[in-house]
Amino acid sequence: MKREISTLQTVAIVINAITPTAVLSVPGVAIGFASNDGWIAVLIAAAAGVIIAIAMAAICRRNPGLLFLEWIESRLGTATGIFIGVLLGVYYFNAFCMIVREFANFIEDMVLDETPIVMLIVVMVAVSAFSIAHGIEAMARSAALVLYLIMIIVPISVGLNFDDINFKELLPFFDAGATRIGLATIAPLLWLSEVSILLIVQPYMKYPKSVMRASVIGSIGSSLQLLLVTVISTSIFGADVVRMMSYPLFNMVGIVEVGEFVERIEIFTISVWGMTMYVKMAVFLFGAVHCFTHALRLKSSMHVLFSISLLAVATIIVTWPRNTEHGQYVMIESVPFFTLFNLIIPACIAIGLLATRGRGAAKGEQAP
Amino acid sequence: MFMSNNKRKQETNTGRERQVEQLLVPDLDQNMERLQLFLGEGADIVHRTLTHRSFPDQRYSLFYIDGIVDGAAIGTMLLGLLEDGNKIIESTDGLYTHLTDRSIAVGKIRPAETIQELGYAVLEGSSVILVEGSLKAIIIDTTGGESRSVEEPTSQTVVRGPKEGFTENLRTNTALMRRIIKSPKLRFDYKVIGRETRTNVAIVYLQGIAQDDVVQEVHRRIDQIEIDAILESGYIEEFIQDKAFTPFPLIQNTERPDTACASILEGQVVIMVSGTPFVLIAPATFVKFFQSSEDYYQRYDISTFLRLIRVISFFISMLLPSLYIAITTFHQEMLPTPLLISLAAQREGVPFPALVEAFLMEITFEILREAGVRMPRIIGPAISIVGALVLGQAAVQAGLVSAAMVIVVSFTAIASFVIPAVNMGVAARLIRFALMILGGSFGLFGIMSGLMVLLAHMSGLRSFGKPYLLPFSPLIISNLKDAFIRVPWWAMRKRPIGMSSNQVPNQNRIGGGKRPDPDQGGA
Repeated sequence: MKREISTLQTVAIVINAITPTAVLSVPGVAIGFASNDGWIAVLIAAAAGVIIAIAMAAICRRNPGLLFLEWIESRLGTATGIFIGVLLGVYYFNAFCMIVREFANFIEDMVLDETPIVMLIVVMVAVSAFSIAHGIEAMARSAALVLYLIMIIVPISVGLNFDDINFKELLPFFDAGATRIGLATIAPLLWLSEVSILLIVQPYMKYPKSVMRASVIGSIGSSLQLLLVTVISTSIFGADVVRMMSYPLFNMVGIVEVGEFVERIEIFTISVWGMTMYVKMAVFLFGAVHCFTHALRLKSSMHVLFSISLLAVATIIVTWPRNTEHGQYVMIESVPFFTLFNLIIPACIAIGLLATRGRGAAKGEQAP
Repeated sequence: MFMSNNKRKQETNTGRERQVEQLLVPDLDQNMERLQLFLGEGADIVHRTLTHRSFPDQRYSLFYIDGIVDGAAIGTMLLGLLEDGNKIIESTDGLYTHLTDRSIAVGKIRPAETIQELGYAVLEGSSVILVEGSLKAIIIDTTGGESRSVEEPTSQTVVRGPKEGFTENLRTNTALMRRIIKSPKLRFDYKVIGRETRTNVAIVYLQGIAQDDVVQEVHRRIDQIEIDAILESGYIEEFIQDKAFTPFPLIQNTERPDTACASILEGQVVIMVSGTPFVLIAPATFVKFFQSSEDYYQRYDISTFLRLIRVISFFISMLLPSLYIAITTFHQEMLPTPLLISLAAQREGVPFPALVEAFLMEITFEILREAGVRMPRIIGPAISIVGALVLGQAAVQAGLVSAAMVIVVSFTAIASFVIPAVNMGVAARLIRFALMILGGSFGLFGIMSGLMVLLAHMSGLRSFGKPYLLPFSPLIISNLKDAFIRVPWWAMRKRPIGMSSNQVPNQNRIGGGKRPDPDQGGA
């Protein structure tokens, strides 16, 4: 195992694992529940997200330098390790399938309405698999470069929309009430809990001790993007209009006109956002391949990658024959799914690690 | 019968090898016979037996190959030997010692004890003297012969800067570098590669500045090459590059001594190959292919501007046709209405979809370009006329392609010539076709997917262990001073981190790192 990923690249992985799908769905959901107080819900979720990020990093910091599943096996026993490995493998596989389908649906809706969705899915899975085939180090470098692009595109987008922004649309504060704001917090919080990817990534870090910094900065960076999209879409269109939009982010960019010769430039934003989606897909596919390879003691990760990619194409096509079924899955059925795998299972792992602290100390584990 | 012939031939070959590998014997005739057997028949092989008045019982014999030796050096040497041969001297050391110490009027000589060593020396342009009764012979460095003189490089021209270029002669090339870097730390490690060609290769680096592990890795990879012939540095490049299946060049090449020296001063290693003016530079990162030696000779602001133009040109040359195809086929809403109407009117009579139209034009241009390179120079203008007027204008008038497509293809072609490194331009040309297919099939989504594949691929590339996308990913902020931008010389205090030695004192390029202040001189 090579420890080659820098702290900045880890931050990029975390941000790209959270935001691409989050900026698509979260503003709509948050504003749907809390109306013009949607941004407050995102802000609360951001605070909670930082706590989750700290907790995840604290777990990671106890890892003495082993791969996550090796570490779990050394502490909780082989059987438990294999069980958790398979469980996480299934989670990452399902999440990957869900993300690919979400991306394919989006491209079909917005850009290529006559192209068969199967073709889009095949291209997406193939590109993700190709990224993974070069290893996690190459994936981390791609993630960092894509993050730089985002850091260029986001200020430009905000700047171009500046004339249309009307912050009065955010008023009055706390109009929705605590319950609705609380409900609106769930979706962004679940997305921010995807910081759990650090459990898999941290052993590859060049400076494993900086996982706390990477985790917190990654979580805050993701929250900032979500907050930005929520605030600006609300202040441009008003909460009532955003509620009816499928993709507020792209509607926001879609209204931009530069002079009288540049218009409909959302396709460029979609292109850059698409690259972040590819990084996200690659991260989750890597998670699935990593977990299955190590849990099932498979020797060739390339064969696992190929098999999982093929299985993913079939799963994505068969599981959600229609886009509406996938939409329902994302909005409703995925909530317990994400809660279980991003919050409950890591919590159980943390409890298990705490309970077996003696074994870790015997093996020279570092203090949290 | 056939088998037995083959067997006999094999046995003869083995016998010959055994004979020539043998050590020298005191009998001059036997040594001469074996050396002649090694060299084979040839009208250009010159052999002359001489005697010395003071050593009447000992003859000595001179061997060299006409045409690959320095005629003046041979003349001087022969004259010296003949004059010396007529003198009566009192020597107790013997003829061999007398010749080496007092008679041969050439600077570089060395002893040899086997026929094989002597034979290869003769083939490389040295002269050999076999001495009766001696178990050692003398190899005299008389390498020379006709070769191209130092001229202006043809592939990497500059407006401001040195006009000297490497030649096919390795010794001339090493001298060109020695003249620029007069440092005792400059190292030339020589190797011979190629069973039949026995091509001389020099690995050049600055000790203490180049990373030791990189130098060792270059040695290791070159030592592993097993091939019969090396005719150009491209042979070595393919053997030693980190990844074979990539369109991107992983090793730089140049025919400019100043570029090679600048690379050495930044910690890179130069590989020179006899017989070609193109030297290899490793490790090479992506940004290096957008840098020209002239960037450092002219003002930093214009250099930065030109570098950015080159990068933009690279992306134009790679992406423009595919973007045109994608936008006209899938995303017409992006175009302003007047432009859309104009394009639609132009394409109305064209019978092909945009993808086919672009392919036709791109392939035509590639054929024209190849013809321009291969044909005799005297008929060059004819190709320009045929290409520009007949094919371009007539194709538009005939309605085979639209005028907009001709503009796109022409601009793409011009943009590809802006990239200073030809091999990077070639990479853009290859990738362009793949992106055109993706753009024609999936629109901008396809192009974006293609770019993501490229990004993942490039992120995984390494050149002698160095990440290809350095200094962007992994990010090294101090190296950004000389990446796509160039800051003034006085601000580039240190050599690039990661490429040069990790020893701190060797990283400093400029002492103090301050801009000379005109007010402090008291002028």
